[in-house]
Amino acid sequence: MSLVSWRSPFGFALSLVAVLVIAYIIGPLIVIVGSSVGGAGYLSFPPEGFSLQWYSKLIREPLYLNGFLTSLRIASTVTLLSLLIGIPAAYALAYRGFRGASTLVSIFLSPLMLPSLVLAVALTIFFSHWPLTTGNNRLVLAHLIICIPCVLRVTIPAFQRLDPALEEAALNLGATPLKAFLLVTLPVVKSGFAAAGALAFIMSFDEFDMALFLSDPAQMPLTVVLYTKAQLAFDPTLAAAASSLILMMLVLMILVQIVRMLRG
Amino acid sequence: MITTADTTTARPKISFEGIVKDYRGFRAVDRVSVAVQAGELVALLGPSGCGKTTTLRMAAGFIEPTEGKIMIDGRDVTRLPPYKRDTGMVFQSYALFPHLTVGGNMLFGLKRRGVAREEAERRVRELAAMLKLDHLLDRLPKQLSGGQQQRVAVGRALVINPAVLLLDEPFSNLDAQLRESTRVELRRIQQELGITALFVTHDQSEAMAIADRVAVMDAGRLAQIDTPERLYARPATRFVANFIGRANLIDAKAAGATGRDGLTVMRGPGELKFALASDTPAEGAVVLRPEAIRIDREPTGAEFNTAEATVKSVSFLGSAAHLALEFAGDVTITAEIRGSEAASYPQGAKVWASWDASALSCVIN
Repeated sequence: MSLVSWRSPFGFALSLVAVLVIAYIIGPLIVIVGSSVGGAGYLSFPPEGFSLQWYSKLIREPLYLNGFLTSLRIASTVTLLSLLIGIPAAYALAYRGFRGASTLVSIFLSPLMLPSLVLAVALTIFFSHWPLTTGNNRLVLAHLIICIPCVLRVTIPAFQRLDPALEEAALNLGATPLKAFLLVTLPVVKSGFAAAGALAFIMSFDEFDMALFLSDPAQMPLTVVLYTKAQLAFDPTLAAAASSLILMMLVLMILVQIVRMLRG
Repeated sequence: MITTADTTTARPKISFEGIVKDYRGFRAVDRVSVAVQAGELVALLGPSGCGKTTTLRMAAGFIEPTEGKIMIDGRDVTRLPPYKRDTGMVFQSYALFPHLTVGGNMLFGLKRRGVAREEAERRVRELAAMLKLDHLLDRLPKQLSGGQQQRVAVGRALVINPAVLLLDEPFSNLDAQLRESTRVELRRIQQELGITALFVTHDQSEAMAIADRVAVMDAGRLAQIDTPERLYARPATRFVANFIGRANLIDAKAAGATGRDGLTVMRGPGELKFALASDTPAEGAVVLRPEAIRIDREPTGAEFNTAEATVKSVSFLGSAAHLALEFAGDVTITAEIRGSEAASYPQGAKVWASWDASALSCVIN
């Protein structure tokens, strides 16, 4: 059921805008995926012929694989920590509520407004005086600054929608506060966690500015590897790597959607 | 039914003793004392903001009183957390656990109490049958109708066999028809199981219909607690008289005795002279229920409890009709007559109104 039929002039204009916007967003992705399966020895679109040679070259290139594994390690750590910190914080801020909670939420969400380049420069200066954190742990800490707010932003509404009487009902039936949280609150808002986790993961995995400044040169994350490679030569292996990333994110988003649909 | 005389001497199942709750300079509950006997259903009745829900939540342990004591089964529970109290609560929103089935919701409290699996399932099945939920045990709350959800909420609170059942506006989310049948059903189950219950509502007809006693609350204070019949016949305050049913309140002053019947005379404005039972204050308001007023075309000849009036307006309501009667001294009183008699008393008609001494009560201003 739609409010406006696409056959009407207004509806047609709306549909046209929608199609243009989608094309604008998807277009570049199609070019990248298209050129990654080209048969020529250089980037071209539309692809000349079809070949998966760049993908096989990608797998055989240790720099890409290491970058991928490094990014995976960093993003997984960041996701886990963001959820461990973000979920209890969201619970306290949105479900229990207290004076000044909304002010705190604004403060906690503020890193999302800052350009990550600014954060990257600031953190580089900070870490030069902070010898305790070394290597890619610096990047993990940096990513937490933007990924925790991300988790907060997704989970706070989930806790806000929750009936405050739910936990009271559990307490009334004899559950301790911890049991009430674990047996009632957590399972009910759980579906929001998958989305929050996926978002934090993607944010960390895709992040470039801070990675460039803060990552360990011996263990470069994938985004930095791609950047370095692109500076040297723009061969289709790069497109294959980018396409693999797109595919991975696509699969992740589909999984999140499936989880959501199963939960209803 | 608990109407036996010994209930006044027996230890109450739950009692509030001088309960006070202050919020930053605002007193939500002010020295409330209520004792509920075993098997009794007491309604906490009052307009929104009168402190009735706060009182109920203090019984459950969600709010800690500033002063006073709460006893359940003779045990002081004032400082106990909710999960250590023996109460079962039905929430206004029902608060069913959305991720658990009906059976899972009902088992929740039994599991927390460490009841053995088989025993717990037997109790759930038994109560579910009684609440006509037995065919719904595998459903999720969102697959149920509002009435069914309400019954699950009641079942979940009852299956743990609590000392006191607490109900917070349990019918307010049901439509009018369902509300009436549901409250009859709840009353039946409460009596069948002999459950002690405390029940919050703002709907006076709901409170009157199912409660053994009604505690009327006004601005944080307990205005009166009594059986529905006595609350209606002998309201203690102006607020109770107005809140329970309809009432005409006429300011009056004591003016001696009638000399016979042992009745006290109270003079109202104009020619109104009331004769009523002697335990009346020197000054107050006489409570005259609209349906207690008889209307005649001729004077009755009595000295008290009758006066001449003019019909100012008539509102026909079907089975009944309300007449606005204007008496000398600029007093307007509403009288209720049978709808079929409305045509006999058109607007502007001169009539004689009269009432029995026993129908009158008096409240202090």
